Amino acid sequence: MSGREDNGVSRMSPGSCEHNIPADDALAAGAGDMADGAASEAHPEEIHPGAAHTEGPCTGVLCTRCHVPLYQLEGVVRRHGERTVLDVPRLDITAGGITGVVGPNGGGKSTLLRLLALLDAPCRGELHFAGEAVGPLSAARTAELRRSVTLLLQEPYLLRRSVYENVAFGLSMRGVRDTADAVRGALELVALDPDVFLHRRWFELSGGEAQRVALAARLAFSPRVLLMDEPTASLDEDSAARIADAARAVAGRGTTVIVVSHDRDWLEPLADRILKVRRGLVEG
Amino acid sequence: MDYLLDGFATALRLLAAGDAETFSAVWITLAASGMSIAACLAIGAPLGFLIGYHDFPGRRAVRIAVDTALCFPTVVIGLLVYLLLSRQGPLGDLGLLFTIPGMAVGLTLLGIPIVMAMTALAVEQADARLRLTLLTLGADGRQVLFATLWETRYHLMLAGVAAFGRIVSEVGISMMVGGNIKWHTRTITTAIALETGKGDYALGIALGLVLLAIALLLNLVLAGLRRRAGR
Repeated sequence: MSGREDNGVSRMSPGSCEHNIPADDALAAGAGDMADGAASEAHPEEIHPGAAHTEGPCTGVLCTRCHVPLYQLEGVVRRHGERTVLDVPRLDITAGGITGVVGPNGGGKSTLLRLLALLDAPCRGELHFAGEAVGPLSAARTAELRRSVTLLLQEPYLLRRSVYENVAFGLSMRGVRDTADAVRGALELVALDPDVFLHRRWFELSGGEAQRVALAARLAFSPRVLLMDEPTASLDEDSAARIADAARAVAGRGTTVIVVSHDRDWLEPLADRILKVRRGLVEG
Repeated sequence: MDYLLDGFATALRLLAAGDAETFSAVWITLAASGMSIAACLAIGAPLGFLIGYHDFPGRRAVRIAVDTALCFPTVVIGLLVYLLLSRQGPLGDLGLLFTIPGMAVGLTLLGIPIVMAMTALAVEQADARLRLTLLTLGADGRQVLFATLWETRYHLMLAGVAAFGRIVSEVGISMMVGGNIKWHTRTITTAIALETGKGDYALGIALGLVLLAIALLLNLVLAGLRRRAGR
């Protein structure tokens, strides 16, 4: 595959991180539990040894109180040519919940999202996902890790196929043959009636419907992390509210949701935590 | 003017009566073009994908070479293939000279650059979000490749139809490699050239009408594909 930057994706650059976290790392074990759908049943000490809980039952890696990060960024720098577009001395993102990202245009929000989506690697520094330093990984392992993360683009692209085929695509990439129930469930999550939309073609959808189909395509395979880049930028209030409902629903099921948005009125009631990205620096 | 109208009327009668000589040329044309376009797509589409999708040293030079090959005179290709297939040529033992498969070899050389160039262009011009979307939906390298090919399918079909149009209407290669042998390698275009030279305009016009019908059909297919590809 090409490593062309102009196609929107660059290869992970090997060697950008120096060390790996051992395979039996506690968080990595938690990640496996979650992939099996058993995270919510796990005992905290099995997942985060030494993690202290002040109140209520722990929900394993989804527990926002554990503060065991799903993402760890240390000294991460991302450059476009000579220009530094993102500089993150330290950032931990805990598994679970909804994290909002705000900031002015060109501040580095989308660059941050692409790093978190494992589409780009840091030019310098270390990015750990679920305990693994992603820089030195093989292309195959990176692709494997990337399957647990998904990114909803600001202007989503729908495949030149039916709604059903679009929503089932991610599942078929994972070798799932029986996709009917998952597709219907994902469409219901984004408030689209499967009986009405299932067999529509991509060009028969409005902008808001296309955005919701694109979101359903990402929810169908139950990702660990859902990243959304300005998901409501061109939507009416009703569609924006549906997106928010879907985000809350999947966060409630254990998916870590990270949303970039300019619409603070929409984002603030939704997010558990807000990060500010300004001039390539992350605050919050 | 009368000879033109007479020729036209006789041509229609030849077609309506299912004239054997006329339909032999049509059949030979379709057989050679059919074999050729299958080979063009099998060879040209993957190669076009390769140069459209991948960055590699010399990619620009390959593109220039392919684009140059689009303008190659058919008689030059005919001469080249004739020399290759003639008894003294390196492929003479295959016995392909003055046969339909031999013509198909020459026509394939004509069509491959068309399929390659159009496939490469289709892949290059595919929406930049496509690759990103496929990756974020969990596709690995091989899956990205096949999904991209499927997403650009109408453009690939367009390349096939355009190449077929060029192949079916050329005369130089068919004349030189096929030898224009009646009942064996005489195609629509070589028959038109021959019959016109003999002053038998009726057969020429009849075959010309068939060629126009094929061209019309191809253009209808092209228009349909363009409409679907443009969506």
